Amino acid sequence: MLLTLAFGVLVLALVLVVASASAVHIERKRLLALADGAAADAADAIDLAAYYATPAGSPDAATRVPLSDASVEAAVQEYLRASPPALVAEFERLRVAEPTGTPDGTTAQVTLTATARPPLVPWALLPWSDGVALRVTSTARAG
Amino acid sequence: MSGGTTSVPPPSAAARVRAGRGRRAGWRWAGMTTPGLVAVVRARLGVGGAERRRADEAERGSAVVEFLGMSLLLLVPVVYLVLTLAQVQAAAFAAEGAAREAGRLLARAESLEAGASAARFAVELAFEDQGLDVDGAEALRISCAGEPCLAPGARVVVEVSASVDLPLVPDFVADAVPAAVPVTATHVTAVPQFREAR
Repeated sequence: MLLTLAFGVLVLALVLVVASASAVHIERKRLLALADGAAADAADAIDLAAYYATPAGSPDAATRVPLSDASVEAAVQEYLRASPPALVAEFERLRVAEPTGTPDGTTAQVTLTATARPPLVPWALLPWSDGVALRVTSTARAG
Repeated sequence: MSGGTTSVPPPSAAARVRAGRGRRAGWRWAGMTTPGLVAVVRARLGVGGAERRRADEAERGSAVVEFLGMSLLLLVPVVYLVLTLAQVQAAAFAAEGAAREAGRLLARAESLEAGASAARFAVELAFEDQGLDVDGAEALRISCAGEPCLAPGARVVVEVSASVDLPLVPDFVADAVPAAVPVTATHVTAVPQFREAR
Protein backbone atom coordinates (compact mmCIF):
# COMPACT_ATOMS: atom_id res chain seq x y z
CA MET A 1 0.00 0.00 0.00
CA LEU A 2 2.72 2.38 1.02
CA LEU A 3 4.80 1.30 -1.96
CA THR A 4 1.90 1.97 -4.31
CA LEU A 5 1.23 5.40 -2.88
CA ALA A 6 4.89 6.34 -3.03
CA PHE A 7 5.01 5.14 -6.62
CA GLY A 8 1.91 7.14 -7.51
CA VAL A 9 3.21 10.30 -5.91
CA LEU A 10 6.55 9.91 -7.69
CA VAL A 11 4.92 9.46 -11.10
CA LEU A 12 2.59 12.40 -10.55
CA ALA A 13 5.46 14.63 -9.42
CA LEU A 14 7.47 13.64 -12.47
CA VAL A 15 4.58 14.45 -14.82
CA LEU A 16 3.94 17.82 -13.19
CA VAL A 17 7.59 18.81 -13.22
CA VAL A 18 7.99 17.94 -16.90
CA ALA A 19 4.78 19.79 -17.79
CA SER A 20 5.88 22.84 -15.80
CA ALA A 21 9.29 22.85 -17.44
CA SER A 22 7.73 22.84 -20.88
CA ALA A 23 5.31 25.58 -19.82
CA VAL A 24 8.28 27.72 -18.81
CA HIS A 25 9.87 26.90 -22.16
CA ILE A 26 6.73 28.06 -23.99
CA GLU A 27 6.80 31.28 -22.01
CA ARG A 28 10.40 31.82 -22.99
CA LYS A 29 9.54 31.24 -26.66
CA ARG A 30 6.77 33.81 -26.40
CA LEU A 31 9.17 36.30 -24.85
CA LEU A 32 11.62 35.61 -27.67
CA ALA A 33 8.85 36.20 -30.23
CA LEU A 34 8.09 39.53 -28.54
CA ALA A 35 11.77 40.48 -28.62
CA ASP A 36 11.93 39.45 -32.30
CA GLY A 37 9.00 41.68 -33.13
CA ALA A 38 10.52 44.57 -31.20
CA ALA A 39 13.89 44.10 -32.90
CA ALA A 40 12.31 43.88 -36.35
CA ASP A 41 10.48 47.11 -35.62
CA ALA A 42 13.58 48.79 -34.22
CA ALA A 43 15.71 47.79 -37.21
CA ASP A 44 14.27 50.64 -39.24
CA ALA A 45 14.14 53.19 -36.44
CA ILE A 46 16.35 55.52 -38.36
CA ASP A 47 18.50 57.99 -36.53
CA LEU A 48 18.11 61.08 -38.70
CA ALA A 49 21.18 62.86 -37.38
CA ALA A 50 23.37 59.89 -38.31
CA TYR A 51 21.61 59.56 -41.68
CA TYR A 52 22.28 63.13 -42.67
CA ALA A 53 25.82 62.92 -41.38
CA THR A 54 26.62 60.14 -43.87
CA PRO A 55 28.57 61.63 -46.77
CA ALA A 56 26.49 61.61 -49.93
CA GLY A 57 29.16 59.90 -51.99
CA SER A 58 29.86 56.99 -49.64
CA PRO A 59 28.90 53.55 -51.06
CA ASP A 60 26.45 52.52 -48.36
CA ALA A 61 24.64 55.83 -48.09
CA ALA A 62 21.72 54.67 -50.23
CA THR A 63 20.98 51.35 -48.56
CA ARG A 64 22.11 51.79 -45.00
CA VAL A 65 19.64 52.65 -42.25
CA PRO A 66 21.80 54.18 -39.53
CA LEU A 67 20.61 53.39 -36.01
CA SER A 68 21.62 54.70 -32.65
CA ASP A 69 21.15 53.30 -29.16
CA ALA A 70 18.60 55.99 -28.43
CA SER A 71 16.53 55.36 -31.56
CA VAL A 72 16.45 51.59 -30.93
CA GLU A 73 15.52 52.07 -27.29
CA ALA A 74 12.73 54.48 -28.22
CA ALA A 75 11.41 52.10 -30.88
CA VAL A 76 11.36 49.18 -28.43
CA GLN A 77 9.50 51.21 -25.81
CA GLU A 78 7.03 52.36 -28.44
CA TYR A 79 6.54 48.78 -29.65
CA LEU A 80 5.86 47.50 -26.14
CA ARG A 81 3.50 50.40 -25.46
CA ALA A 82 1.54 49.84 -28.67
CA SER A 83 1.27 46.07 -28.20
CA PRO A 84 -2.09 44.76 -27.05
CA PRO A 85 -2.23 44.83 -23.23
CA ALA A 86 -2.91 41.10 -23.08
CA LEU A 87 0.35 40.35 -24.84
CA VAL A 88 2.52 42.44 -22.55
CA ALA A 89 0.63 41.68 -19.35
CA GLU A 90 1.27 37.99 -19.91
CA PHE A 91 4.82 38.47 -18.68
CA GLU A 92 5.62 39.17 -15.10
CA ARG A 93 8.17 41.93 -14.53
CA LEU A 94 8.79 42.51 -18.22
CA ARG A 95 11.75 44.79 -18.67
CA VAL A 96 14.05 46.01 -21.40
CA ALA A 97 17.55 45.08 -20.29
CA GLU A 98 21.10 45.56 -21.45
CA PRO A 99 22.30 45.11 -24.13
CA THR A 100 19.64 46.99 -26.04
CA GLY A 101 20.76 49.28 -28.77
CA THR A 102 22.96 48.86 -31.75
CA PRO A 103 26.41 47.31 -31.63
CA ASP A 104 27.49 48.37 -35.14
CA GLY A 105 25.14 51.15 -36.18
CA THR A 106 22.99 49.04 -38.50
CA THR A 107 21.83 46.12 -36.37
CA ALA A 108 19.12 46.50 -33.74
CA GLN A 109 19.69 44.42 -30.66
CA VAL A 110 16.90 43.97 -28.14
CA THR A 111 17.12 42.20 -24.80
CA LEU A 112 14.03 41.52 -22.72
CA THR A 113 13.84 39.96 -19.29
CA ALA A 114 10.82 38.56 -17.49
CA THR A 115 9.98 36.18 -14.69
CA ALA A 116 8.22 32.90 -15.34
CA ARG A 117 6.37 30.84 -12.79
CA PRO A 118 5.58 27.20 -13.45
CA PRO A 119 1.79 27.02 -13.52
CA LEU A 120 1.35 23.52 -12.14
CA VAL A 121 3.74 23.23 -9.22
CA PRO A 122 4.21 26.70 -7.77
CA TRP A 123 5.12 25.21 -4.40
CA ALA A 124 8.07 23.40 -5.94
CA LEU A 125 9.63 26.79 -6.48
CA LEU A 126 9.35 27.94 -2.88
CA PRO A 127 13.14 27.83 -2.43
CA TRP A 128 13.46 30.13 -5.43
CA SER A 129 10.49 32.33 -4.75
CA ASP A 130 11.47 34.93 -7.35
CA GLY A 131 10.50 32.49 -10.12
CA VAL A 132 12.56 31.58 -13.13
CA ALA A 133 14.35 34.50 -14.74
CA LEU A 134 13.95 34.58 -18.50
CA ARG A 135 16.32 36.58 -20.65
CA VAL A 136 16.23 36.72 -24.41
CA THR A 137 18.23 38.70 -26.94
CA SER A 138 17.15 39.21 -30.49
CA THR A 139 18.83 41.04 -33.33
CA ALA A 140 17.44 42.37 -36.58
CA ARG A 141 18.76 44.35 -39.48
CA ALA A 142 16.96 46.41 -42.06
CA GLY A 143 17.55 44.86 -45.46
CA MET B 1 31.21 -42.25 25.13
CA SER B 2 29.20 -45.27 24.02
CA GLY B 3 25.73 -45.16 22.40
CA GLY B 4 26.10 -41.59 21.14
CA THR B 5 23.90 -40.18 23.84
CA THR B 6 24.96 -37.27 25.89
CA SER B 7 24.14 -37.52 29.45
CA VAL B 8 22.62 -34.41 30.89
CA PRO B 9 23.77 -33.91 34.40
CA PRO B 10 20.91 -33.37 36.79
CA PRO B 11 20.49 -29.73 37.70
CA SER B 12 22.37 -28.84 40.75
CA ALA B 13 20.55 -27.78 43.82
CA ALA B 14 21.72 -24.21 43.40
CA ALA B 15 20.46 -24.05 39.84
CA ARG B 16 17.10 -25.41 40.88
CA VAL B 17 16.83 -22.74 43.52
CA ARG B 18 17.75 -20.02 41.00
CA ALA B 19 15.21 -21.20 38.46
CA GLY B 20 12.53 -21.43 41.08
CA ARG B 21 13.25 -17.96 42.29
CA GLY B 22 13.14 -16.69 38.75
CA ARG B 23 9.75 -18.24 38.14
CA ARG B 24 8.39 -17.03 41.39
CA ALA B 25 9.68 -13.49 41.67
CA GLY B 26 11.19 -12.91 38.23
CA TRP B 27 11.98 -9.66 36.52
CA ARG B 28 8.84 -7.62 36.15
CA TRP B 29 8.07 -4.93 33.61
CA ALA B 30 4.75 -3.21 33.11
CA GLY B 31 3.02 -5.74 35.27
CA MET B 32 4.26 -8.63 33.16
CA THR B 33 6.69 -11.31 34.02
CA THR B 34 9.53 -12.11 31.69
CA PRO B 35 7.93 -15.14 29.98
CA GLY B 36 4.74 -13.19 29.33
CA LEU B 37 6.68 -10.29 27.82
CA VAL B 38 8.68 -12.62 25.61
CA ALA B 39 5.45 -14.17 24.32
CA VAL B 40 4.00 -10.77 23.52
CA VAL B 41 7.16 -9.67 21.72
CA ARG B 42 7.29 -12.92 19.75
CA ALA B 43 3.67 -12.50 18.75
CA ARG B 44 4.29 -8.92 17.70
CA LEU B 45 7.32 -9.80 15.64
CA GLY B 46 5.44 -12.63 14.04
CA VAL B 47 7.97 -15.25 14.97
CA GLY B 48 6.68 -18.56 16.08
CA GLY B 49 3.08 -19.48 16.51
CA ALA B 50 1.56 -22.02 14.18
CA GLU B 51 -1.58 -19.95 13.54
CA ARG B 52 0.49 -16.95 12.64
CA ARG B 53 2.55 -18.98 10.21
CA ARG B 54 -0.58 -20.39 8.58
CA ALA B 55 -2.00 -16.86 8.17
CA ASP B 56 1.25 -15.74 6.57
CA GLU B 57 0.99 -18.54 4.07
CA ALA B 58 -2.57 -17.61 3.23
CA GLU B 59 -1.59 -14.00 2.57
CA ARG B 60 1.54 -14.73 0.62
CA GLY B 61 1.46 -12.95 -2.77
CA SER B 62 -1.35 -10.59 -1.86
CA ALA B 63 1.08 -7.67 -1.55
CA VAL B 64 2.11 -8.10 -5.17
CA VAL B 65 -1.51 -8.29 -6.33
CA GLU B 66 -2.36 -5.22 -4.27
CA PHE B 67 0.58 -3.32 -5.71
CA LEU B 68 -0.36 -4.19 -9.28
CA GLY B 69 -4.05 -3.46 -8.75
CA MET B 70 -3.51 -0.14 -7.05
CA SER B 71 -0.85 0.84 -9.57
CA LEU B 72 -3.25 0.24 -12.43
CA LEU B 73 -5.93 2.19 -10.62
CA LEU B 74 -3.54 5.11 -10.04
CA LEU B 75 -1.95 4.83 -13.44
CA VAL B 76 -5.15 5.32 -15.42
CA PRO B 77 -5.73 8.93 -14.29
CA VAL B 78 -2.02 9.71 -14.52
CA VAL B 79 -1.87 8.44 -18.11
CA TYR B 80 -4.96 10.49 -18.93
CA LEU B 81 -3.32 13.54 -17.37
CA VAL B 82 -0.20 12.96 -19.46
CA LEU B 83 -2.26 12.63 -22.65
CA THR B 84 -4.22 15.81 -21.93
CA LEU B 85 -1.18 17.84 -20.92
CA ALA B 86 0.75 16.67 -23.98
CA GLN B 87 -2.12 17.66 -26.25
CA VAL B 88 -2.53 21.10 -24.68
CA GLN B 89 1.19 21.79 -24.61
CA ALA B 90 1.55 20.73 -28.24
CA ALA B 91 -1.25 23.09 -29.19
CA ALA B 92 0.37 25.89 -27.19
CA PHE B 93 3.68 25.32 -28.98
CA ALA B 94 1.91 25.25 -32.33
CA ALA B 95 -0.09 28.42 -31.62
CA GLU B 96 3.01 30.28 -30.50
CA GLY B 97 4.97 29.30 -33.59
CA ALA B 98 2.02 29.91 -35.87
CA ALA B 99 1.43 33.47 -34.59
CA ARG B 100 5.07 34.33 -34.99
CA GLU B 101 5.42 32.92 -38.50
CA ALA B 102 2.12 34.43 -39.62
CA GLY B 103 3.29 37.84 -38.39
CA ARG B 104 6.57 37.59 -40.25
CA LEU B 105 4.90 36.48 -43.46
CA LEU B 106 2.42 39.34 -43.25
CA ALA B 107 5.12 41.93 -42.63
CA ARG B 108 6.96 41.10 -45.84
CA ALA B 109 4.01 40.16 -48.03
CA GLU B 110 3.42 41.80 -51.39
CA SER B 111 -0.25 42.35 -50.68
CA LEU B 112 -2.61 41.76 -47.80
CA GLU B 113 -4.38 38.90 -49.60
CA ALA B 114 -1.16 37.12 -50.45
CA GLY B 115 0.15 37.64 -46.94
CA ALA B 116 -3.05 36.41 -45.35
CA SER B 117 -3.20 33.25 -47.44
CA ALA B 118 0.48 32.51 -46.71
CA ALA B 119 -0.16 33.14 -43.02
CA ARG B 120 -3.13 30.78 -43.04
CA PHE B 121 -0.99 28.11 -44.63
CA ALA B 122 1.72 28.72 -42.01
CA VAL B 123 -0.83 28.29 -39.23
CA GLU B 124 -2.06 25.00 -40.67
CA LEU B 125 1.51 23.82 -41.09
CA ALA B 126 2.47 24.73 -37.53
CA PHE B 127 -0.46 22.79 -36.10
CA GLU B 128 0.13 19.88 -38.46
CA ASP B 129 3.68 19.65 -37.14
CA GLN B 130 2.22 18.96 -33.71
CA GLY B 131 -0.26 16.43 -35.03
CA LEU B 132 -3.28 18.70 -34.79
CA ASP B 133 -5.77 19.44 -37.53
CA VAL B 134 -6.77 23.09 -37.57
CA ASP B 135 -8.44 25.21 -40.21
CA GLY B 136 -6.14 28.17 -40.88
CA ALA B 137 -8.92 30.60 -41.86
CA GLU B 138 -10.76 29.82 -38.65
CA ALA B 139 -7.78 29.96 -36.33
CA LEU B 140 -6.09 33.08 -37.68
CA ARG B 141 -7.33 36.58 -37.01
CA ILE B 142 -5.56 39.59 -38.43
CA SER B 143 -6.43 43.02 -37.11
CA CYS B 144 -5.04 46.18 -38.62
CA ALA B 145 -4.70 49.51 -36.92
CA GLY B 146 -5.35 51.56 -40.02
CA GLU B 147 -6.09 51.58 -43.72
CA PRO B 148 -4.30 50.31 -45.76
CA CYS B 149 -3.42 47.44 -43.51
CA LEU B 150 0.20 47.04 -44.57
CA ALA B 151 1.07 50.74 -44.49
CA PRO B 152 4.74 51.51 -43.79
CA GLY B 153 5.41 51.43 -40.09
CA ALA B 154 1.95 50.09 -39.29
CA ARG B 155 1.42 47.46 -36.63
CA VAL B 156 -0.56 44.37 -37.42
CA VAL B 157 -1.87 42.19 -34.60
CA VAL B 158 -2.00 38.49 -35.42
CA GLU B 159 -4.07 36.26 -33.20
CA VAL B 160 -4.10 32.50 -33.43
CA SER B 161 -6.70 30.63 -31.44
CA ALA B 162 -7.58 26.97 -31.47
CA SER B 163 -9.37 24.62 -29.15
CA VAL B 164 -7.98 21.28 -28.15
CA ASP B 165 -10.44 18.46 -27.59
CA LEU B 166 -9.82 16.42 -24.47
CA PRO B 167 -8.65 12.97 -25.46
CA LEU B 168 -10.95 9.94 -25.30
CA VAL B 169 -14.10 11.92 -24.56
CA PRO B 170 -17.07 10.38 -26.40
CA ASP B 171 -19.15 12.64 -28.61
CA PHE B 172 -22.30 12.62 -26.53
CA VAL B 173 -20.35 13.80 -23.48
CA ALA B 174 -18.54 16.44 -25.52
CA ASP B 175 -21.89 17.75 -26.75
CA ALA B 176 -23.26 18.08 -23.25
CA VAL B 177 -20.31 19.61 -21.42
CA PRO B 178 -17.43 21.70 -22.77
CA ALA B 179 -14.63 19.20 -23.35
CA ALA B 180 -12.12 21.45 -25.10
CA VAL B 181 -9.27 23.63 -23.92
CA PRO B 182 -8.84 26.95 -25.75
CA VAL B 183 -5.31 27.89 -26.75
CA THR B 184 -4.39 31.35 -28.03
CA ALA B 185 -1.27 33.21 -29.05
CA THR B 186 -0.83 36.83 -30.07
CA HIS B 187 1.95 38.45 -32.00
CA VAL B 188 2.44 42.03 -33.04
CA THR B 189 4.31 42.59 -36.23
CA ALA B 190 5.57 45.88 -37.54
CA VAL B 191 5.51 46.55 -41.26
CA PRO B 192 8.88 47.88 -42.43
CA GLN B 193 9.02 51.65 -42.52
CA PHE B 194 10.77 52.04 -45.85
CA ARG B 195 8.42 50.43 -48.31
CA GLU B 196 5.34 51.29 -50.29
CA ALA B 197 1.87 50.99 -48.88
CA ARG B 198 0.14 47.84 -50.12
